[in-house]
This record gives sequence, structure tokens and C-alpha cells, in this order.
Amino acid sequence: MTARPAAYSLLRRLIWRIVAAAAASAAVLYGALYTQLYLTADTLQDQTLSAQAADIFRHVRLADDGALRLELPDNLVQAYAAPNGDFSYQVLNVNGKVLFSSRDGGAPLDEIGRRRTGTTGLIQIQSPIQPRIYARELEFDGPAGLLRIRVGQSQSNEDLLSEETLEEFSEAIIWSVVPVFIALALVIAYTLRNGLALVVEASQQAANIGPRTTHVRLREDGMPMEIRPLVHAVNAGLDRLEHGFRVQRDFTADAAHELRTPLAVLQAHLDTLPDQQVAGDLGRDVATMSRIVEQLLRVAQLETDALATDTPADLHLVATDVAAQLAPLALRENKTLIVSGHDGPILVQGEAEALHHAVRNLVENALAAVPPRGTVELIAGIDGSLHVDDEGPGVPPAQRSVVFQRFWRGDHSGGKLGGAGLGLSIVARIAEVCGGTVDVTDAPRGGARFTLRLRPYPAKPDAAARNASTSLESVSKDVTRRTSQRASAPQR
Amino acid sequence: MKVLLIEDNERLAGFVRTGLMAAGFVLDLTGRVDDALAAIATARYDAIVLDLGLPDGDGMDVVKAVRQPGGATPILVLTSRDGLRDRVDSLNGGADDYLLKPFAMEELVARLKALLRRPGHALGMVLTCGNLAFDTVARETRIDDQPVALSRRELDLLELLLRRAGRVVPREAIEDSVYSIDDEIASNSLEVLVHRLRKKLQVEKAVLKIHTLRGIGYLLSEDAS
Repeated sequence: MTARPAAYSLLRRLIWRIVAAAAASAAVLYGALYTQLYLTADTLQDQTLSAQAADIFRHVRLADDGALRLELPDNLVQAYAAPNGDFSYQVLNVNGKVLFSSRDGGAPLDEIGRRRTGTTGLIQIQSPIQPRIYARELEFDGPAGLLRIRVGQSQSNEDLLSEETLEEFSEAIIWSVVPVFIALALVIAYTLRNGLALVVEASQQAANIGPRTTHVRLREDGMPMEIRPLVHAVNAGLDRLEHGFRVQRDFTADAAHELRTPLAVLQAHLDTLPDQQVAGDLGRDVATMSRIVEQLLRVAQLETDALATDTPADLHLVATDVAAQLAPLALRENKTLIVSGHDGPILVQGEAEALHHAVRNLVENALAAVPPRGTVELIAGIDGSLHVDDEGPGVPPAQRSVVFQRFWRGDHSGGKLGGAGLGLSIVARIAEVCGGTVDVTDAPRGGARFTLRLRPYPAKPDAAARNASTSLESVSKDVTRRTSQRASAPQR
Repeated sequence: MKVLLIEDNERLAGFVRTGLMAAGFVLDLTGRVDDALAAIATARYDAIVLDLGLPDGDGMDVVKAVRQPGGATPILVLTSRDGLRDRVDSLNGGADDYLLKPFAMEELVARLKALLRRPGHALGMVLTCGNLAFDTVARETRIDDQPVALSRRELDLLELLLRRAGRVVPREAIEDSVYSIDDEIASNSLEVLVHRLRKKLQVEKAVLKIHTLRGIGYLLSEDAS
């Protein structure tokens, strides 16, 4: 099995990634823009310098005596002679000898390095004394032979200003991009949250599906196309589960009918036989069989029929009902049945019919355990507990954890009250489904004390929340346990 | 007493008929919903014993038909269904009692008689148990045909116990019907009342016994010993 990554928030991950991608592309864009701006500025300067160099070259004349003369018009002379020394030029011959220069003391345009810039044939020169001179050397082939003309321009305040403007402009771009990012993130968050709200809603619908609500399906309309297949598949799975549930329930109901009818015929036949001596013996066998059938069907029902466990049941009423039902049997066997403890309604969570079955099983077991003239006492507590005390042999501590397992049979339970050893497992299951417990200890007067503990109704709000989570936990645990039991079943 | 038995399993129906006839009932037998409805429309029955799963419909349809306004015939439902809600559903649907298959004939007879002992039904006029007879109209008690003088409350208590002879009558049910709302009921009033009734019945040599079931109620039965 491949390891699956831990759960993460799709929303957070999407926002994070989209914003990161947007930021990266913005940085690239910004960088490109910045570079382009600088390149454009450089090119403009290059063009100006080239034009100046060409201008100077036009004024180089080859005199009649074969010497070279530079005859600059006045306006140019003045421009190059300006006191702030912004502009300067040098005219060199092929050997690098300076033929003309803008003025003495003007910054010498000694080259410290050359590199070709662009395709204009310009050569960049930097002056070692005045690093702020930005110069270009251009070669011209004219009537006076090959000449190199260097033109320099010190970087004026205006240039610096324009550079600063460029910086500011770039910064402004950054600050205008930030709100765009925030807006983008908000739009993404809103869209995703909106889209995922339906998924959250579907999860809530799914959480309410239980054995009692097998007909509920998740809503497919309005679901995003990407999620609809999942919802559809879940619904299809629920269809199959519901079908399985129904088949199981129908089977249990049919089995109940098919098993009980022949038993009823047998019992009725025995009851109408003239020889009631033989009939009585056979009748006890039929009673044992009936009891086993009843228990098996009860187990099947508990697995398929969901109980309403959020409804109130009166535990005291359940106890007195069971006692009233079994009292004639107790009297016939010369045993005493008592209900004591809190004398009034005790509301607990659970379904009265199911609790009736549980308590009835406990009392039947207790009556079977006590000898004639013995007493079985039901003690109801206002806290939602019910003790069933008998005066029988009790349950040894070593067996207390196993008596609630299926098919466990005590020494006394195989006798008069024959069964399949399912009674106590049914009690435990009903208690569990109702969110309660059952255990066995020693009764104060000897014998066994079976205690059913149920949750008071209504549950305290905080307790209810806690119980809800634990019940979910126990349900999932239960499912796991049952699955593992099923998985291991063939090995037995 | 005439009873309509609606049961589609012929063998079971046959044995139940034998058993009920031995207990003194007169039986009409049918195995279908439509036959049952026809029988109810033409004859008067003191009680109906009904199987819920019938070949041509649900037994509860018969219950509905009987429970038309004015229809008070006691109905005892026999069924092999014991889903946790089946019992509640059939009792809420109008049935008077519910017996799960398989059942002992003795139990069926006892329950039928209990239904018939209700006020207004076949056995509701004169309640008998052992050598005691209680005329509910004249409100007169006789033991071995000799009249016994009982107080009003003792009579009320005896009537209640007789109507449910063999079954437990919860303490609250007795207090509700023996005492009025205005009566001051001391915690041991009922015990004292039961004690007095027991004493009188004992003196008159009644062959019946009132069992006290602590925390549960009282049960009147024929004294076998």
C-alpha cells in the first residue's frame, strides 16, 4: 500500500500556490520591465553621443597642406567649452594619437576597457578620473583617412533625476501590485469557499445517515462537476447498502415466521394432547427450542433493526412491567420478585421495547439461578442504573468478563431455562446500542448482581456533545471490530 | 362465548380450536381477511383471535374494520412477528392484547378470559375465581353462594383484582381506581386495605389468594394449596 499524504486544506493550498505563482510572474514581469527601461535609456544616450561624434567628424577638414583641421562652428565650440565641462571630445588617429581635444584640462577619455554595445559599432569608455563620464568612441573612414572620435558626457543631475524617477516608478509598480494580489486571493478564497460549501453540506447529510435512515441520499444537484461523480458513487453505494439491509431484515422477518409457526403448531398440539404428563415434558423441550429461536432472531434483529436511542424511556416503568410480566412465573416456582429503589419515573436514553427485552433477559436468568423460596430483587436508581440481584451461586470473578459473550453458558443456565447462551450477549448489545453498559458483581446478600447503567435523559448539553463524539468513536470502533471478526471468521 | 379465530395455518387453527373448545368457547374459524370481514359483518362475536400474517392481506385490516365506531369486540393478536415495534404498532392499531407464537394454550385461554372480564364484555358481569363470585351490577360478593359484606373500597379492589385474575395489577392502577383525587392516601393505606380484604376472604374460607409483589403490585389467584 502506498502511503497517503496527511489531510490538508485544499483552500489554503490553492490560495498559497496561486498567490505564489502570481508573485513569481509579477517579479519576472517587473524585472523585464525594469531592464527594458534602462536599456532604452542607454540606447537614447548612445544615439545622442553617436550624433555628436558624427557632427565633429563632419567638421574635420583635410587642409591643402595635407594637415588635418578641426573647424567647429561657434555654437559647438561654446557647447564643448562650457565651464561645467559636461561635454568633451577627442579626435584620434589610427595609432591612438590625440589630434584634437575639446580643451586642455578637460577630462581625458582614456579607455580602461572596451566592450561592444549593441550593433551600432559604439565602444564604451570609462574615464578613470571621472567615473561619471559616459563616453563613446566611434571610428570614421573619411577623406582624411581612418579617425577615431571619442565623445564624452558627464552624467548630469538631470540624468540622475531621471534614474531616480525610474526607481520610484518601479517601486510604485510594486505597491500597486500588492492590492491586486490581495484582491486575487480574496476572490479565490470566496470562490473556493462557495464551491466547497456544498461539499460540507453533503458531509453533514452523510453524517446523518444511519441504520434507521437508509433511504437518505446526498444531494447531487448544484454540486460542482468535479465532485458530482464522487457524490453519485456514494449514493450508488448507499443504494446497495440499503438493499442489503432490506434483504437482511426481510430474511429475519421471514425466518421468524417460518421458525415460529411449526413451533406454535407443535406447542398447540402438545397442549391439546390427552396425556398431559408426556405433553408437559415435551412442552419443556418446545419451550427451550422456542427460547433459542427467540434469542437467535433477537440477535439478528439487533444487527439489522436500528434502535431509537435518542428517545426517552422510563427505566422504572420498564422494570415494573418486566416484573409484572414475570411475577406469575415466579409465584408458580415459589420465588419472590421485588422491585425497589427509586419509586418514580427514571428517564433514560433508549427504546423502551429494547430495554424491556434486556431487563427481561436479566430477570429470567436471575429467576433461573435462585433456588425455590429465593428472591430476585430489581433495584432502580435515579442515576439510570438498574441492579438485578439474585440469591443463586453468583458468577466467579474469572468468568465475569466472558458471560456477556455470545454462546457462553453458565452452569445453571443449561437447566430449567435452556437457551443458546445468547441472553446476556443480547443484554450487552442492547445496553451498548443505548449508550449504556452492563456488568456483573456480587450481590450484597450473595448471588450475582447484574447492573444495567443507562444514560439519563435528557443528557446534559456538554455531556451530550461528549457522548455524541464517543458514540461516533464507538460506532467506528465497533465497525472495525466487526470487520476484523468477519475477516478472521473463516480461520475458525 | 363465541370466538372468531382467524388463522391461516390449518393445523395450528385445528389445535387452537380444540384447546379453546375444551376451555368452553364456541369457535368460528377462517383463514382469510375477506372471509373474516364477512363473518364479522354477519355474526356477533365476544372476542376475536387474529393471526397478523394472512395470505390475502394484513390482519391489521381486520382490526381496523372491527374498530369502526361502536366496535368494541376484544381482539387478541397472535403473531410470529416480534420486531421491536410490532407489539406497540398492533396495540396502537386497536388490538387489545398481543401473544407471540409459539404460545401455551393455557396462556391463550387466560388472556382471552382476561379480555372478556373487562367491563361490558361477556365475562364482565359476574366475575368468578375459585369459590368466589362477584356480581359487578349488583356489586355483591358471594363465597360458596353465601353473601359476604365488604366495604365500597374493598369491593372496588376485589373487582379490579378479579378482572385481571392471574396477572399483576400495578399498585398505581389500584390507587387510581380505588381512591378519588380528593382522598388523602397515606403511604400504607393500600396495604391496610389489602390486609383487611385478605382477612375477610380468609374468614369466609375463600379459595383464593392475594399475593403482594413488593414494588410491583398485587396478583389474585386461585389458591391451589
